[in-house]
Amino acid sequence: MHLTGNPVLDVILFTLLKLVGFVFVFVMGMATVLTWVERKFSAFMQNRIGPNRANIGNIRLGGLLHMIADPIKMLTKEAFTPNTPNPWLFRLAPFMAFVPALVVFATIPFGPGDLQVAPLNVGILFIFAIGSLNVYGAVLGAWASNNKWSLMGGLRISAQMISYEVAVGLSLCGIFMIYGSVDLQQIVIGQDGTWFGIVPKWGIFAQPVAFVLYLACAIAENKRAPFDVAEAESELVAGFWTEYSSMGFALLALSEFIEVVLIGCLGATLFLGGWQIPWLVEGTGVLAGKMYLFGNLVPHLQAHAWYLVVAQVAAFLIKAIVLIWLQLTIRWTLPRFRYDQVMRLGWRIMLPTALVNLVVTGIALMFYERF
Amino acid sequence: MAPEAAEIKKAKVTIDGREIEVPMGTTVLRAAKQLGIEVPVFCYHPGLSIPANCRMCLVEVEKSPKPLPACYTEVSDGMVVRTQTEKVKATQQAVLEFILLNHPVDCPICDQAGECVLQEHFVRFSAQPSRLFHEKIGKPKAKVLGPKVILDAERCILCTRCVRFCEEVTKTNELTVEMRGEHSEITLPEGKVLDNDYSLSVVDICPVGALTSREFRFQRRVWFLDQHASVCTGCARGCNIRLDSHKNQVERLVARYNGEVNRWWMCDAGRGSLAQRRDGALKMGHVPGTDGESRQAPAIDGLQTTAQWLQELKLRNGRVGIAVSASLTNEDIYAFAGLAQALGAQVFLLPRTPWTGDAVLKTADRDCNTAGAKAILDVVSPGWGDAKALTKAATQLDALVLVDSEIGVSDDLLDALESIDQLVVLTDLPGPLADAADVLIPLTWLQQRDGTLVNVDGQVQRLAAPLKPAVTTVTPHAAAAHFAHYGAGVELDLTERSRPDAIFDRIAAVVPAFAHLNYTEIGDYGRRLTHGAPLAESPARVAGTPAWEPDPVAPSFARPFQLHRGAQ
Amino acid sequence: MAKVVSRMTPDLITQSYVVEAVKGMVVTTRQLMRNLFGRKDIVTVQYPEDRRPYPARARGKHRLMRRDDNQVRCVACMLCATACPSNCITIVAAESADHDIEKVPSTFEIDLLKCIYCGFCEEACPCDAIRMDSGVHALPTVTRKAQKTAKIDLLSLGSPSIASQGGQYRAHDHEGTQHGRSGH
Repeated sequence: MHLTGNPVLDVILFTLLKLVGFVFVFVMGMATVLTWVERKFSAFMQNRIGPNRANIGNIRLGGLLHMIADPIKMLTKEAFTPNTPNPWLFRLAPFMAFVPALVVFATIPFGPGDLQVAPLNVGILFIFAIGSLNVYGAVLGAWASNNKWSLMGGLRISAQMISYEVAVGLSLCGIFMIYGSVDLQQIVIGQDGTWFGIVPKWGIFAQPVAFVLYLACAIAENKRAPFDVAEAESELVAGFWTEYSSMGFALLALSEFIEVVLIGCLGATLFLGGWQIPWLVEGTGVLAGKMYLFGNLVPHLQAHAWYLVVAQVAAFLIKAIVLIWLQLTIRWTLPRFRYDQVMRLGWRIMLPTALVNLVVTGIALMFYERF
Repeated sequence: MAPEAAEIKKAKVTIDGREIEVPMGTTVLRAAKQLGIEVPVFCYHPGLSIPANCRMCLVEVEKSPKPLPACYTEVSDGMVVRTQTEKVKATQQAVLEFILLNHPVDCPICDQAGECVLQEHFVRFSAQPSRLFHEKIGKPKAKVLGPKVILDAERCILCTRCVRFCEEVTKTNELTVEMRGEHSEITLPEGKVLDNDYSLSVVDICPVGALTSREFRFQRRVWFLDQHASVCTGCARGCNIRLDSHKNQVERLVARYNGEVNRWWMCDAGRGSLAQRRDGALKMGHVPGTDGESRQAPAIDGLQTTAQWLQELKLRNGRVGIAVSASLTNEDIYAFAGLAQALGAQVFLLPRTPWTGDAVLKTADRDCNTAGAKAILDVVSPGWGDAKALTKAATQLDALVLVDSEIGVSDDLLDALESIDQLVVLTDLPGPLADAADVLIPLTWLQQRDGTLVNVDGQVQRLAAPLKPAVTTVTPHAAAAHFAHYGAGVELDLTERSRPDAIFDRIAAVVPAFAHLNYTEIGDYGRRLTHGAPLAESPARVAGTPAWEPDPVAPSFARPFQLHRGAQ
Repeated sequence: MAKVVSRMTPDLITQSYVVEAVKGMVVTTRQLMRNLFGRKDIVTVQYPEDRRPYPARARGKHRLMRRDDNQVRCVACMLCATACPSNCITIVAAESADHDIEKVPSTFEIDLLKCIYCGFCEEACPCDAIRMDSGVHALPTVTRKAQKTAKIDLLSLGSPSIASQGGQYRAHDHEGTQHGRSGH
């Protein structure tokens, strides 16, 4: 880390670099691309073409230009405010939803060592704490919309998000117990190596039930299909964002996609070994080690070799993208639950399962340490 | 009639195996009709002489080598007639083929299609394709016979009904048949024009589309028309009519058979009597506005203003007059007479300007209910005055309620009306009275009302509102009830306000001439008033008309109202 | 006797939903991959640029056929208006200025908003005067009024027909005939 020579300045600049590189370029970029990917993939799944009309001259890029066209459209549309006693809350709500979603990325380690915007030793707790604020955006917006459908959507959200907050938290406790830390970087480092030389020591293999619970609860947290009862078009017009137009709507929609990225990144960190490249580097995660699979291809790897770091960051991003893709597939495959089913699933299935998983993990750990 | 009938010799005939006894001299056709046996005809018309030239009615008569025309052959005792044999059917087919030889089968263009006798007979009795190889004979199309009638000579089947009508009914002899054989053609003799007062009746009786009314030609296909039984309101005769409308709009009036009133005919003036209202009936009246200028207003505003005036006049003992036209229904007359009683007002009966009547149907009196109006007013307001009395009394009147239009207004009367402070006119047509009015209330017109009329012979006939009125207009008896209730604070002596049948019940109870009548029993052909002159002695009918003996079979020759698609 | 349908009793694996969800995702993913690479199951037609060809007997916007001398074939018999179940045809008949023709439509208006394109009018037409084989799709308009298609528009799509024309006079003496209502 020798950018300027001044250590303080170096830290500031390096942090900014990470911020820009990861949060703005990857996260925001990914969220933006998702607006297109989601529509395009769903179209292909349903034997349609999907968006392909936005063009510059004859250049269409398969609809990729919609990513530019949509913001332009959103920006130039009327920012409608309904006849509400709380216009300021109405305008504030999208930011309440957007900002927390973005802030939590600070603790995600997207690479080894310092490649983490804010190395917090309480990383996962921070994510939960800030992530929970997200609900305020939707609920405030729903309430300030002064609209029956919005309000009902808001009520559903608040109940649903609180319910699944519990389950998602408990489902991750098993991970903390196994890796003995809530610092995300430590958890990633803990997932280095393999069992029996074949199976990577990833969270998903140690805690398969927790992974399913996490994914389901996290999608429910993000109020996306099949848990999108808050905006259920067939029942509530568009739920909590019925009255939103222009950039207010854009922010709400974008915050949803950012959360999709967040769920992907967090899932990759906790369950898919983060930036670890399986079978490649064993040990502390920063030293070159024995090669099992790629030994012949890359015979000598050195610690902190720049290409290794790049490969690890890429590994993280790929894992995150796989999980993002999984979420999209889930969304376009599973039909929406009924609201009562959502609540029953949360309290009567997800929560007990998470608790049982916790107990079983504890017992297993006890035996593992003893023997 | 009964003793005479006994003297007539009877003959027993068997038609299609059924026996019937009819007076000697009856034709086979009419005897069959009495049995309900249908014999197709073209040229026969029960109101005209019998030429037997179409041969459509040929039937088999035992002991006769050839089929005989049913319309012309008189019955004899022991005659056996068959109308349904193969021979008769073959004959009918042959006759139809012959008639259709030169008939341009352009039914889609022809106005008669849908009510064409030839069309119906062809479908029913022949339905054979033409075997003619040669070109059909061309004759004049759209030939103008007169100001109202157009002839298509190609479509003519030469039944000569029209020729006989002009000879026998109007006795004007405008039409004749020219040339011979297949070149025969209905024409006008040199220098003649079909321009009598009944010329449109030839369109009625033409079985095919040869004669068409210039007015109605191409206007509407007949199957679009709603057909309503009604009564002509053009003069005191009260001819029975079929009012054909489309989308609540009058399209044409057609004579409807009524043996006691008009038989099969009606005059051209009667047919045109609704044109003025169709095109320019009042829909809005006017009332005095706050700024002194009068403003346009629907009936309800006029009713309220008038009721208020009547109230004020009652408080200061003002003098009110009520003038009604004789072209109102009995119910309207009775209601206004009742109002006059309640207000203590004098009633004036105003006639329309008379025209010249004729020996056929038209009466000089143009009001359709003079007889009824007089009968009711004589009983209910015995001191009623006429137009002269109104002219004289006008200067002393504070207010006058004048009902209905087309009253013959002389300049004297108009001047006299000027002196009245509050002139309320209820009418359905614009005119000098409407202009002179302080309050103008638009009325429904007669064909939009439910009520009864009494014709010149004392026949009580019913109008059954064939047309729907505009929402801004009001019916006179409803207006009278409104004035009585809100203006005089009196409920009229009506069992139920503003229902013509209820008012008619009151009339029957109060006026002796109506005593035996019941609203629902008046029917399509009407009933006699007790004081009406016997039919044969009716003064309007005597001079020169053919003898109108009672004809029980005739109504069955009248074409029934058709099934149609109805208002669309 | 009603047929009793037994309810499915899912086993625990099915009830857990996870396996079934994964099965479903396999289906959607397979379809996604199939459409992304290789075989295209996509059924969408890029409408304004690509159009599916209309079947030969498709009923499009109406057209009024012409006589050999380009006059309208219609004789205003109103059989189409009679057959029309939605009452969208308004015809006003008039006398023709042409001596050989008795009756022509002075207005012939079709309210395309009311029309249900059933084709009864062309079935009913005795003159082959109205047809719906123009292949022209009725276009949307900004006003309702614009959907009332007048005679001139319908004629502009029309062409001569080879069917024999009804309502045409044969050669004969025209003396004393009247043309036009206000005639002599």
